[in-house]
Amino acid sequence: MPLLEVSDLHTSFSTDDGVVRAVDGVSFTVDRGQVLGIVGESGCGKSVTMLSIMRLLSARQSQTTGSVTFDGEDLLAASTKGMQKIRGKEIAMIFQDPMTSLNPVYRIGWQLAEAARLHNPGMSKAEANDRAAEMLTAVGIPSPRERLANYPHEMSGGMRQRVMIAMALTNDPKLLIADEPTTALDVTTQAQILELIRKLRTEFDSAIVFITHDMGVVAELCDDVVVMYRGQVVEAGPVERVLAAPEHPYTRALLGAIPRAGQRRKRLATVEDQMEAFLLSGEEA
Amino acid sequence: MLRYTIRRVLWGVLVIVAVSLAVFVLFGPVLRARSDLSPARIYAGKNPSDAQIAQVEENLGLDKPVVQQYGNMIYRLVWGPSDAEKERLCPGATEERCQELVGRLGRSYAKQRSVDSLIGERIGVTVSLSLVAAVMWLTISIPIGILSAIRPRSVFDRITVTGVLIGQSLPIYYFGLLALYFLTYKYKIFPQGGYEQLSFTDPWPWLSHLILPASTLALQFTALYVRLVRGGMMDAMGEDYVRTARAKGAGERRTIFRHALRNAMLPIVTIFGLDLGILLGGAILTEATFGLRGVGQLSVEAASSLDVPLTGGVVLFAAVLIVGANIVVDLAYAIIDPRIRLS
Repeated sequence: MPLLEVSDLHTSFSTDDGVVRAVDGVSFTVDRGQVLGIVGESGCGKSVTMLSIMRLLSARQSQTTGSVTFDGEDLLAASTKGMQKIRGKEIAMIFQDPMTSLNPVYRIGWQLAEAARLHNPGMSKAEANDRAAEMLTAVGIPSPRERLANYPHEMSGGMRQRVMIAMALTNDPKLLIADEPTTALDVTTQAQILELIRKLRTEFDSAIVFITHDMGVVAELCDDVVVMYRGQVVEAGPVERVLAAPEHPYTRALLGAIPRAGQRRKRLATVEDQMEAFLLSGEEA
Repeated sequence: MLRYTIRRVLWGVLVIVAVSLAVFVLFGPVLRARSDLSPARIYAGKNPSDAQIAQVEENLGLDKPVVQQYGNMIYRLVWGPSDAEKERLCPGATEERCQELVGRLGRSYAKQRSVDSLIGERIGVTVSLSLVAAVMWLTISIPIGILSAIRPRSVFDRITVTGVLIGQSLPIYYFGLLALYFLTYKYKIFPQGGYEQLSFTDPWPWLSHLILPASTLALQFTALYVRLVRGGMMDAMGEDYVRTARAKGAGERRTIFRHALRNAMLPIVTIFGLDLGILLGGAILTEATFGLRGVGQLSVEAASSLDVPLTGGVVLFAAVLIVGANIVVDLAYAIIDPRIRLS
């Protein structure tokens, strides 16, 4: 039985201009310990899919249908309380922008300890603090005890993303959802964070869903990959196979839009150009 | 923090000096240049002779060079009235009686008493009114603002937004008079105007006299603060850190009160401090409507009788309150918002 099974997931938003179908019949599975990459351009529904699974979208502004089964439990049917027990404990999430994802008015230590205490009601403050410091050490933050007293604004973006990762892994989740965790960081920091995730992957043994639009990251980090386009899954399979022999023209277009060293004096093909060429040629998918 | 505080206080002093200069120039030389508004002419009785006017000017100290007059004013403000002044204005009186007659802010022409003692007499009313009103508008507007923000476009929210519009549009004197007519004259629920001293053994008479005026004063602030809290909370609820809190497994209540509210309240603390500072300088309309003899009424009395020292004194007093409130707000902000660095 897979750890996470998503089938025929639809999420739509009611806006003033009508209903927007952001996720339109998405299905995929994640096995225990597996790293699944979800790629696609901005606005293709990657993040909304994950927020729907976590049920973090406002019920007033969106409708989600389909089925999400996590560890045998139907998440879309779970109670609010039941979902709270799963979030941060069974499934944890890290977000794109570490600059805004931490609460500016609380100390790092408080926010980390909160993650621990929310799911361990009997835990004392001292124990929660110890756990917080332990997690900071795990994500490679030096002198963790002193760092606990820092406020988010006193840390760099890379540091804050490390804190977010530490917070997500506090309760040894079975699944970690990383929603473009390196997009907002500079290239050097990106590499460090990726390295950290790769290291923690073996240490914590969580399955990971890694959302990105960076094919390089997918190649390095993931076992399988799901390619999304306009709210739908257009291709899925093992990373080696998809990268070496993409079947869907959109996947080919996506791969074609990656600049390569040594490629000179040629305008980089955009996904739009290539898709247009494909549609004009009348080729079958 | 200490250096910042000192610098902030020095700035405040500078502002007060600027206000005092403006008060002095406006109420001194400028008024005096218009012979029909010259205080001495007004206080010298009907059809005064030039000699009488000169005598009054001398008594009021208006015959001195302008710079010296200002110097005297500042000297008195900082060190209190001089012995010579005390000797002239309250000869042989006890120290206590003398304080009623001469003070740091000068002496009212019309009431023949020190501005300090007049403000001292009235400040209790204004402080009581402002504080009771502040408690009212905060306890009402914060919960309504939060409820409205977490259910945007709900029936409750729509009623709130409409109520805010009505509350903000109702003038104090209109709402106040309506309340007075129905709740005091027609149904006799609240006592007629006036003010009762606060007694800690039985605070009811004090409170019952304040409920109506304070609710009137609080009405517009409630409307304003509901808008502020609602807007602040809606922004905060949409922030990434609120999503983080939910993703951690925090319940809705914890997310709202621990994570969003604390952030949403930051700007409101600032506005509240400033509003309170302004109110303590006199809530003119409310005091007038309910016949409360507070600082606001005092300033009206002063201005309408062209009582130059009293008007200037009240203005200066209000300025000190506002500058003081600003300093308190800035320091408080540094404590509640860790991102503000004081240096």
